[in-house]
Amino acid sequence: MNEKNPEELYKERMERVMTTIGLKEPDRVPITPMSMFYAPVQKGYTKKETMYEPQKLAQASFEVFSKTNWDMVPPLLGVFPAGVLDSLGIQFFKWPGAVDEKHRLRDDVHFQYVEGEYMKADEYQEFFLDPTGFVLRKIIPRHHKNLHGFSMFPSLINLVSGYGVFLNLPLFFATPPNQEMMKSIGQAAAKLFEYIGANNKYVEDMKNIGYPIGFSNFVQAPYDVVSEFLRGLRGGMLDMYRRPEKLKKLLELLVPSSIQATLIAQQMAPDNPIVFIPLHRGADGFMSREQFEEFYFPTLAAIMEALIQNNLIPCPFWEGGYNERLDYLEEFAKKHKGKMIYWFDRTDIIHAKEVFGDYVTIRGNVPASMLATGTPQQVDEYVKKIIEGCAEGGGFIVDGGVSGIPDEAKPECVKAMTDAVFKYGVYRK
Amino acid sequence: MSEFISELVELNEDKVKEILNKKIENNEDPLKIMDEVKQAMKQIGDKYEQKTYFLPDLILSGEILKEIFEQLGPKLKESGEQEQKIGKVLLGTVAGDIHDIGKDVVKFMLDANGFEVMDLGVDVPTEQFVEKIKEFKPKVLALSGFLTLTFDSMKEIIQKINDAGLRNTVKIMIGGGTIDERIVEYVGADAYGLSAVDAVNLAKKWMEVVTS
Repeated sequence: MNEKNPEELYKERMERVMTTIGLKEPDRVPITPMSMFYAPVQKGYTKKETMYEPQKLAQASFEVFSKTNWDMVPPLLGVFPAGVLDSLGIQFFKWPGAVDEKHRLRDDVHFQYVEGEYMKADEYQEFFLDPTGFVLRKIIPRHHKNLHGFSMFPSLINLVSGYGVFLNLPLFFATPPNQEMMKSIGQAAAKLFEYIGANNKYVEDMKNIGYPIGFSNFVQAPYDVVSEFLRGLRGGMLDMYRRPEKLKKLLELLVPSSIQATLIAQQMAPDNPIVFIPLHRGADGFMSREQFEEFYFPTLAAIMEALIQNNLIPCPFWEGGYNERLDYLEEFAKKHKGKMIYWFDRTDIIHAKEVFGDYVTIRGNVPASMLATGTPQQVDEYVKKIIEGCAEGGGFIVDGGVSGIPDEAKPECVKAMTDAVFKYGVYRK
Repeated sequence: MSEFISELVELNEDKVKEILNKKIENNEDPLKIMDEVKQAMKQIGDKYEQKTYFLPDLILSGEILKEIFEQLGPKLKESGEQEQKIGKVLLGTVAGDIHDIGKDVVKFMLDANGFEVMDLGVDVPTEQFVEKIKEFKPKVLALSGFLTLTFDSMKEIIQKINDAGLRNTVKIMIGGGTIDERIVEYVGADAYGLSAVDAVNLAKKWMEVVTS
């Protein structure tokens, strides 16, 4: 088979992906699937085990993905460490085996987000007056049952005075409920280190046999942050009517902090410049073109712009369909030729290639339904079709749709997807 | 069209409240007001169908509707007349999945179009669908699911409906995240919808409702 050593292989795979992102034809169409529980499911682990025992997640993922010959293998970071979620008492998820019964799902069910109005409609002004203090005292306790102590955190600005610190801070940490809280944080940290350790080992083991990881950094669109973690789906949408200016101000407020957090996270994993941006509530059907233009896209675009300026590669995942707003995507791509990946789910990618394939790399989109219930023959035909429609001139990467390889994918379909790339995706021998 | 209806359709919340208060002051028949509300809801549904309105607009109209109900509630109970519905739909997000956005939009649109909808909520145990088919006797069963694990939940539900000898009593539509024609075949449903509009059209077709 391949006589290249792992270092060469790693370099070759990385270059293949980067060449295509630069809108030039590499030797072959790259394949870089994302995945969450597929590998652990293949190894017979339940979702609960996978979330509570990160070493099983890492081991299963290594065993399954090290045999794929993919150009980038899935990161582990899509599967959250349940021990951390338990320790903090996270409210916005339900997951298999959660200690808190209210948040517990069955052992074999994927973790899920819990809709909630975590910030009330009349709290905008409070947020604007002191964003850090508001998040610390109001949002963090609402998001985390075990971090209620932060609601009493002393005024941060007052800590500028030395008196403010020595009179207030030790007291805050010394009260018995807060000592309990610090213990929870300590437990969460231990669980997080265990998870990071497993992840780092996976990344290292993969690198040692020549595989780069798909990405290790992500950021969200400000509207999704507001909709999912602050105002809720309902609140975020009602605010478009009832308090549009406040909503926009909040969205704008989240831009610099999102950029800063992403740049800091990037320093921890500098190997791969691709930044994953999972998008949720801007899709066709969720909001109108006007609402997308007014509330969703500007702050998302500002973040992507900043990432590009910092030599990172935004990879927005346009989950659902974006067929009705391709022109916005086109306009942005034109301004940033060869600097991004647009990963599509249910959007017609062959049409997308025609619209803006000269400016941006298209990634996708073997349907989850096909990988989970179809035949290898169907997968082969589908991959052939998208390669024929999207590969010309570079700028095309093969992946699945939602979450890449679905948890329930048939291994023979995943193999057919890979084989088809090697069969039909060669640019030059 | 009355001013009340047009302000409601345009989602002018304050104006709607103002006119409603006047109507109540003038002792207008609450059933007549509700009739106007229904007409407005139908038009809002039409706007959604025509893609002029989207989720934010439906959510706001739902809020306005809730406020109207709160104001009229006691008066409506007094008059207590039941309206004619065009057919029964049983709806729910299947076992293992707690996503409700898509399901709720489908419910809204079916309501707006005059169907009688029983919403079983999310993560509905498989057996419950079978029980409710026996009890509620819907003509249409609408199964929602966002996660890929719902393929098997749906398959199991339809298998159980088959086993109970009830399959030919209901038409089954499915929808959500990754659902497409392959999943219709895989689970043994009759059709799938990409949007709530598809759901309404399928339900109408299956109940042979003549659309004006």
